[in-house]
Parts: sequence; C-alpha cells; structure tokens
Amino acid sequence: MSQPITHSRAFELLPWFVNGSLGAAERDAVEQHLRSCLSCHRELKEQQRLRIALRAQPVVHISPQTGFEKLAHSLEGEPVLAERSAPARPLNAFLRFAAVAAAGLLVVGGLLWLAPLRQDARVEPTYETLGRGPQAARGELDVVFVQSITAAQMQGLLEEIHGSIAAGPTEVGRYRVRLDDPSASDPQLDALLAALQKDPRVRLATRALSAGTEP
Amino acid sequence: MDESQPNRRGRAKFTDDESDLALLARIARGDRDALRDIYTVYYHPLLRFIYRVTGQLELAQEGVNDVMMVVWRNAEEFARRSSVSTWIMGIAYRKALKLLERSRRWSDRFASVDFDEWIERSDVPAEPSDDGDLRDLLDQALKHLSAEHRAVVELTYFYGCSYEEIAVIAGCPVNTVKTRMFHARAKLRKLLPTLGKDLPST
Repeated sequence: MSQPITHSRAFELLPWFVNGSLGAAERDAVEQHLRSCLSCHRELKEQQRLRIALRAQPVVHISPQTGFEKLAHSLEGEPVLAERSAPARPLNAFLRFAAVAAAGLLVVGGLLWLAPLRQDARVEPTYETLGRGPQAARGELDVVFVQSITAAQMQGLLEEIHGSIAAGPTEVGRYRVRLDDPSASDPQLDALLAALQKDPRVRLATRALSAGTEP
Repeated sequence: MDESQPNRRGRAKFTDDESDLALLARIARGDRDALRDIYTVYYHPLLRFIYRVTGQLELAQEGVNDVMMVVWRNAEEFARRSSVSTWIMGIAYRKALKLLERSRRWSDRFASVDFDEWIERSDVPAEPSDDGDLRDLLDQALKHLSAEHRAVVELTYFYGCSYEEIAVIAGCPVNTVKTRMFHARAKLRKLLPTLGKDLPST
C-alpha cells in the first residue's frame, strides 16, 4: 500500500501520470488518490484528451535529406574529430615556432604542387539544391507560402492538394511540392495553380522550375 | 525523486539509447555516415520540438542543423550523465530559446503591430467547427504560452518525458518544471474550454 498524498500533489502529478513516466511509488499514490477524488478524476480525463490532441497535432513532413545536405555543406572544411582531438603535446616556444614555420612551408609547397592539378582534381559536390537539382518532374510545383503560415496550415494545404514537400525551402523560402498524382493533365495543373495563387496561405505558386530556369 | 526507479524511465520514446550511443561513438571518430543516421532519426522529433517552442517552421529547420552541428562537434564530450536523447533535446531547448530571442529582436525592430498582444485582448475563444479548426485553435492556444511553458507541455505530452528528465533538458530544478506545467495547464484550460467535448474520449 502506497503512502497517501495530498490533493494538490496528486493534481500536480497528473500530466506525468497520464504519460506513464511516474515512478511506481508516485504512480500508486496518484492511483489511490484518484479512487476517492472526483475533481482529480475529471482533470485526469481532461489531461488524457489534451495529450491525444497534442499528439495528433501534425508538423509538416519534410524530408531530412535537404536539411542534411545543408549541414553537410556547412561541414565542408571542418576537420574530422579524429584530427581535432589529437592530444596537444607541450611545446616550448622554439618548437612551437618551428612547427608553425614548417606547417607554413608545407602549405605553400602543397599549394604550389597542387596548383596545376586543381582543375582536374575538383570534385563536384554530391548534394543538390533546388537551384542545381535534377530537372523538375511532371506533377511538381514551386510554392512560396506566406510568412505567417503555421505548420498545421501548411500540412492542411498539402493534404488538400494531395501533395508533399519534395525539397526546400530555398533561401527565398521556395518549396518544391510533389503531387501524389504525377499524371495530372495541363488543364488540371493550371486550375490547381490558379486556385493556389488565390489561396491566402500562398504567396507564389508556379510549375516547378527546372535547374536552368532558377532565378 | 523516487530513487527506486530506473534512471531513464520516461525517456523520449522515439529512439533507443544503445543505438544512439553507438552512433555517437562513431561520430566522435569523425564518421559522417553516423551523423547522417542520427540526423535522420532525430530530424522530425527535433523539427517538431523546436517548431513548438519557436512557433516558426523556418527557425525550426535552422535549429535542427544548429543542434546537429553541436552534436558533431561535441560528441566526444558526451559524459553519459543522461540518455543521448535527453542530451540532444537539451541542446535543442537552448537553441530554440536563442533562435526565438534573435527572431524577436528582429521583429521588435520592424513590427509596428503587436499581434500577440492583440490576440491576448481577444479573450473569447473560437468554437472549432472541424478537425482543421481544432488544430488551429490548439496551435493558437499554445502560442499564448511562454516558450518555456510550451517546451514543458510538448516534452510531457508528446515525447513522454518524466519531470526529472524535463528538468535536465531545461536546465532547471524539478519544482520549476512542475510550476511551469501548473501554469500552462491553467492557461490552456482557459483558452480551450471546448477541447473536452470536441475530442474523442479515451
């Protein structure tokens, strides 16, 4: 039998009773209190409903791919941790100077050595952006949403047009939206674009621009 | 705190600590494939959490990458004082508050109308007419909470965190977590009087 707890303490713990994270002692004490407290029992039902509602709240489904590409891009030039974490040995002033000078010579020498090769050795980045991505596929749109749009509103709009975010946003906030049905006819696409252009959640909607036509 | 319980009960449920630890060890050795893996696992939970705290999707996307940059740079220093997910959510919490602060500084500079204040004054909650409206209403209600209160609500109801774990994530005492939740509940109750009758019962 658990120790009884006060009403205010049980009331305070209800959110964590509902999410199942209380320890056994507190959980048992709250359960025991709930058997005799109508007010806490009512609040428990409210908490359960709130939890369901919050868990049902959508956030736009954006592929992690675009975000990771941006991160990978910003990591270029970052040393890998194995290099960063090499333990620093204590150097006296002369050794430190010598090391810096030698490193400088190596860098200059390396640059001279590599200079004629740089053109050939350049590696194309493996990431893609809307600006240098694949040609736009049929059934893809470029959409800029209004700045005040919430994730729920964006998700709602995507559900209405049966589409999903394929890429974006670009620096100007443009998303590429892929329609579930890529076989939509030209008149259907035109009608959809006309509707989107009038939609208060949308600032701009066009057929997806191909790489060469990006501004 | 109930010492008889396992330390990691209530941990965010979207991930597994053992596999996170393995990924973190690989990241500490500079393995970018491991970074991609942990990024993929955490992307949506972090996006949602930072969006909930900041209320802005663009900030959330920026925040996810800020968090993952910290993970990349500090994986070696992870001291196992908490689960990996608690550590990462703690980073996300601090990043979200910083991004929100930065965003507010900019909007304070340019905004001529304080919409939050305007909404605050319109104290009659709307009646939701369908699921979409209810979502918007809940979205709006959450915006009336402070960022710190929203974080506690989200971590409790969506991520299933214990109050001890939220205290670690938010870097505050357990009693502060309970107080924040108490006030958040009171405010949501006031803003969402129709919530009970419009949602399915359990």
